[in-house]
Amino acid sequence: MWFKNRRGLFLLTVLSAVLLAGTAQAAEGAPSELAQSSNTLFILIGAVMILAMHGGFAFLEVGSVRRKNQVNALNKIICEWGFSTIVYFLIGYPIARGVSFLVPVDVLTVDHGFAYVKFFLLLGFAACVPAIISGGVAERSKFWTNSLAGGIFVGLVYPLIEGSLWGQFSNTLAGATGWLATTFGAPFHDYAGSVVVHAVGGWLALPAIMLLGARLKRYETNSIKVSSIPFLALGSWTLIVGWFGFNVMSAGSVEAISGLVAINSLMAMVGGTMAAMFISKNDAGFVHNGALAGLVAVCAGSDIYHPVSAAVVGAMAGAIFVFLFETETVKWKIDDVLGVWPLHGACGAWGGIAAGIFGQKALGGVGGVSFFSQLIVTVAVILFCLAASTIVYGLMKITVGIRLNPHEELIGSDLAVHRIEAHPEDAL
Amino acid sequence: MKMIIAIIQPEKLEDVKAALFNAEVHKMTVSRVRGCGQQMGFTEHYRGQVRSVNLIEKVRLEIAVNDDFVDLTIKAIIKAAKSGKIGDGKIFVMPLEQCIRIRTDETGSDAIG
Repeated sequence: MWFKNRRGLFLLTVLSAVLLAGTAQAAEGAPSELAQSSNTLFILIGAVMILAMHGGFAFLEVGSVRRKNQVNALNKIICEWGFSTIVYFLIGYPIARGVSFLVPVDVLTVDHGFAYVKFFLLLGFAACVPAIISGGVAERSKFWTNSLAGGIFVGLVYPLIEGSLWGQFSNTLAGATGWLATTFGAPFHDYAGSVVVHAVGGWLALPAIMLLGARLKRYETNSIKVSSIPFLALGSWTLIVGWFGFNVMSAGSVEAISGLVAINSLMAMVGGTMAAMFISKNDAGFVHNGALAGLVAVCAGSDIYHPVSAAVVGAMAGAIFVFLFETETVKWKIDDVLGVWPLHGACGAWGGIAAGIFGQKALGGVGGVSFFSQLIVTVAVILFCLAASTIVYGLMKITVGIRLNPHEELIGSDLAVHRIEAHPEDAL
Repeated sequence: MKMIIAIIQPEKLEDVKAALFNAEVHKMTVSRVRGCGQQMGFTEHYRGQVRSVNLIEKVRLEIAVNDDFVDLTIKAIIKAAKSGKIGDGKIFVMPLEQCIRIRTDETGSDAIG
């Protein structure tokens, strides 16, 4: 046996002693080493799954743009992750959570560095904002101005919303003892960010897309196509899988984990896919985004719906996405390349409001939500985001310009910005 | 009978097609090609290596027409493909010896129309 030498036996003894010590501590009620380390691991797994979702954002965009803008889509997503990390670490997280990382490491390495992985997880949420906007402004926005706007949103705009609804200011307005709770009977409820993350991204994107204007020839000819359905589907699947980290790990600790959140996310994804499939007559773009629409909408109430309600909420989101994407891009002629406003903006807002309806006990939910709290906060977030984005993109538009010049747009942002095509071997 | 071959910017294809359809020219063969002209290409950068690419992606149209359609076709292509910048492309016109429609065995002008 492996412990027949002395060192092995010693190791075994130490291991048993540590394990016994752990159980003894747990019995006394203090948070045990095992609980602390498990929580750190739990949140880290969630953070890495959300990190993978950013790969999903990248490939969803790669597939949905023309071949001449694929490299730009990839570089934008990974660079924006970098910018987001820096500004959120230094400015955004301290605003939202009142925790600064510019302290000696031994302050935050107690409890197995839980504070650090919590930052990593919440950074994944914050970085969704520029990743969402990226899909709407694709193929024509300037790299640097768009990155700057993303930095302002992640460093300031998003943390103010996060801080007010989830973070250090949440008790005064949206928390258990806040104004909403005392007036309408329940605080604002957004479990995993239908409103806080997705609606914020989608409604920040809308003014940016309108200020940029449509891609050249978008509405004069029908020559603008998508480059790759397989990459689009790969992006969608990566987002779908990662989403289970996004929603389930929103529990915050392993003791609070809820299987209901997982099954509801699954049901909403399926509901969104099915609805989009029937309405669009099995259109590849709509089916793969319908799944995401369901997931966007289910975030807010994923811990309080009955799974049947979750499927209904997701199905309605799939329908909302298909109808609003057509209305926005065809009727209103707003050139939202990936449909980020209908997907994240509209379905996120629907998710926030739906939690106040389908989360009620009368509809099989857990209860403890108020329709009016949900509605008021959702509308307030929308108005705040529209204003913030109009100011940021508007000021940049009248000063430095936010759009590539027509020549750069014609040769494509891959060559114009990154000096390489997506498939260099194709060049002769 | 003439064979008209036009090399144009890829992004002008939709406009050129529309202009040709307006001029009642509905038959054409289109291919993606790469070529070299006054535009001289571009340089690519990958991991610090710079490589010059002098063949640029273009679209090539082949249109077989009867003599009375030649000027009309050329005018339609120029109107839609011209931006005034280097890289707009070229049109070649050459005599066409014979044309046969495989389905009906028609030959000559009848087969083109």
